[in-house]
Amino acid sequence: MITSGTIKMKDEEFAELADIIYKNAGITFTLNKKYLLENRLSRRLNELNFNSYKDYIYYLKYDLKRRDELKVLMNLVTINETYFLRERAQMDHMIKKVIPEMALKGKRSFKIWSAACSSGEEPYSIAILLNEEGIYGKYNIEIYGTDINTEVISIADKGVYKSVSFRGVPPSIIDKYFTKSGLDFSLKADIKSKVKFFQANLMESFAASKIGMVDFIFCRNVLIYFDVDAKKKVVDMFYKSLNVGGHLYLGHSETLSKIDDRFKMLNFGTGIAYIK
Amino acid sequence: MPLMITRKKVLYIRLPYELDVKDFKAVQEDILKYSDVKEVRLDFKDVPYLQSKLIAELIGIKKTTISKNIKLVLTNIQEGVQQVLEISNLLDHFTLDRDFSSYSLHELSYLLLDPEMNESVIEFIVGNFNEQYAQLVDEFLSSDDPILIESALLIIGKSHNYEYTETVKTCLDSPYPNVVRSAILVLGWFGDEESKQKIYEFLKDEHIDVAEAAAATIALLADENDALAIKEYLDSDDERLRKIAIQALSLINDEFSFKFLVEHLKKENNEFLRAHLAKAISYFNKPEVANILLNMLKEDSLKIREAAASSLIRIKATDKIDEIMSLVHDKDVWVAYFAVKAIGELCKDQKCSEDLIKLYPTVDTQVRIAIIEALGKIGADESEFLFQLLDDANEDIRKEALNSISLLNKEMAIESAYNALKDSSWVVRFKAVEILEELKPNGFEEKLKIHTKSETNRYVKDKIYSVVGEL
Repeated sequence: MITSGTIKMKDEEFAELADIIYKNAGITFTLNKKYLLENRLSRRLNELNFNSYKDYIYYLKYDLKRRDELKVLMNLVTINETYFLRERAQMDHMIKKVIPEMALKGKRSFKIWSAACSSGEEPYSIAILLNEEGIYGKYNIEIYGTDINTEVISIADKGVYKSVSFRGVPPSIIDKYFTKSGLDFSLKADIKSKVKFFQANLMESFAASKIGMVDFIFCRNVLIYFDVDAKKKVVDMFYKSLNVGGHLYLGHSETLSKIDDRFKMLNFGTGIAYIK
Repeated sequence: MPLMITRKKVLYIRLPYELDVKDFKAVQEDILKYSDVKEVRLDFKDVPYLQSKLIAELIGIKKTTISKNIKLVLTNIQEGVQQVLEISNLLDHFTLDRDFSSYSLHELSYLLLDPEMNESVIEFIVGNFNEQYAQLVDEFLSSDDPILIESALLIIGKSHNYEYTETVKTCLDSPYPNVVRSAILVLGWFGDEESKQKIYEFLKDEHIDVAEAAAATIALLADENDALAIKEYLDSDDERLRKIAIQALSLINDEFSFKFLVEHLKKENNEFLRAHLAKAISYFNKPEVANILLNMLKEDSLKIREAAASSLIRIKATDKIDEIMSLVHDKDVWVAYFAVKAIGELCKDQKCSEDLIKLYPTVDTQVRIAIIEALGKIGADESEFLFQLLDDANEDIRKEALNSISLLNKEMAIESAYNALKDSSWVVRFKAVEILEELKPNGFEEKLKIHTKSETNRYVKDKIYSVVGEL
């Protein structure tokens, strides 16, 4: 029967697809994540009339449209679900503690990079919290959001979200910053304009050069998808992009141990920051 | 350290937060003390990091378990520990697993919010459902988090908790599409016919996941009247609704559904939906299906022709082999590809193999690959032809040739697989390991172990470890 159910992947097919993804995005899929690839790619196989991943692999390797399809594949496997104000402790640390301290020393401009920002919830959350703290009138703030996935960057650019992006967000924040129309929540223009988005692959060294030196990098729940070599490469790029004293915030389970010993680790109670 | 032995002779040891050499020494002693166990599971849930000095101790434990023929599994490895194992090149040598029984209810709730963990945690709770988890489900249902509510619904559905039926029904009114989708699915699993009429409304839902869930559930709850009810949607101006209706009728899969889909094929103009119809019709086990698909191959649209050709693989049209064979010359490479694959599924006659071999030099790479695969499936011994292809410049040709040889000539396959372990392409080496695993020639495990010393590709190494065990 015709369904959009998942198509099962053989180990051999998994290895080939994992290899293609690793070579193009640096993301490592281990065998225990096979179901994730199955969930994300089955619909695409159905669209292309393929009955097996082997057919799809040959399409990626031999079809005239293989370059376009590779982009589709990368978009499908690099989608990460997120929501507004997720793990806000690190954002609060930056806004309520670090920025005021830096400002006391005379700093007036701050540049923030949300690396792998998905559909924009993280950098917009930062903009909202900065606004709530009254930072915008006092200092010059620039926020950049980048992601390898062109589709999520396009969503971020539009700033229109569904209810699922607001898990645990106080209604007062939703009412203040979003306009509801049917099932859509549109970010109001003044906050939307605070964040600039563009596509960037963290595995490519010029990803950072598009932004220049920054004071804060948020790269949360992303390094877990990279192997050690890829992690080292990305973290080295972050190190070079941070001003001295700049902060790198990673996901709660991620660590720079054995990856890069140039950062100073700061445990601030509700989270960890790595300082250059 | 907390330690437990189950009736299945599995020794569980939970390692402490500040793991030290003495702890690993104690593990060694426990393994020796309980040497009749079959498996040792070391739980790293509370261990955020592994000091370098502990690596040697961990290898010592591994060696002890190997010498005692005990399986060692490291569970709940955190990112910091995994990183150390990876840097030490030890990751491939250990079996890693997740064991949710070590987690508190609060921790499990947190893991449910991780999209990658969600499904596994739900399966765990379903498999161990008790009063404690029932309370957790109640908490989720009264939360305002759509992921937790969705998880609760799926737990209810998969553990067949029919007493929640009324609660599930109320979730159809949720503002969250993921919650509505889960509620629809669960009501289908529960066979709740009372909800069917309401679920019809969701066929028009703007969220495709919700609409598809509604189609699947209506099919699950269908009686003889539902195909007729869904037929109405085939006349809608909304293309997406027509697509959902086609899907629902294919799922209902009765006489009426088939008739309505075939009738609709005569008037549907949308290229995408015609392609969808080709697939939908191919899921009906009826003799007319082959002719319908072959007729669709006469259409101009590549999308429709490819859908029809790929659907030929699904049907058992052994009387249409000649017609399908004529498609292998098709100007569209994917139509030719699918036709060859269909021949591989349908034909068991040497004539088919001979025709495909004649065709081989004249076609594109994808079609060549499909021909090689088909030769293996047809079953006529064409191993001599395939053997020549093992020297082809293309890695996929070599890989498929090796695979088809393994289906036709065991002796040649074993020799070729050993040779292929030296192939420059890892995909060929991977296939060689698979074939040796399948055919199990004498001494193959030892030869694979020796091969790991020179193997550089992680996927091939992983595969060999999965065949011969670690270290």
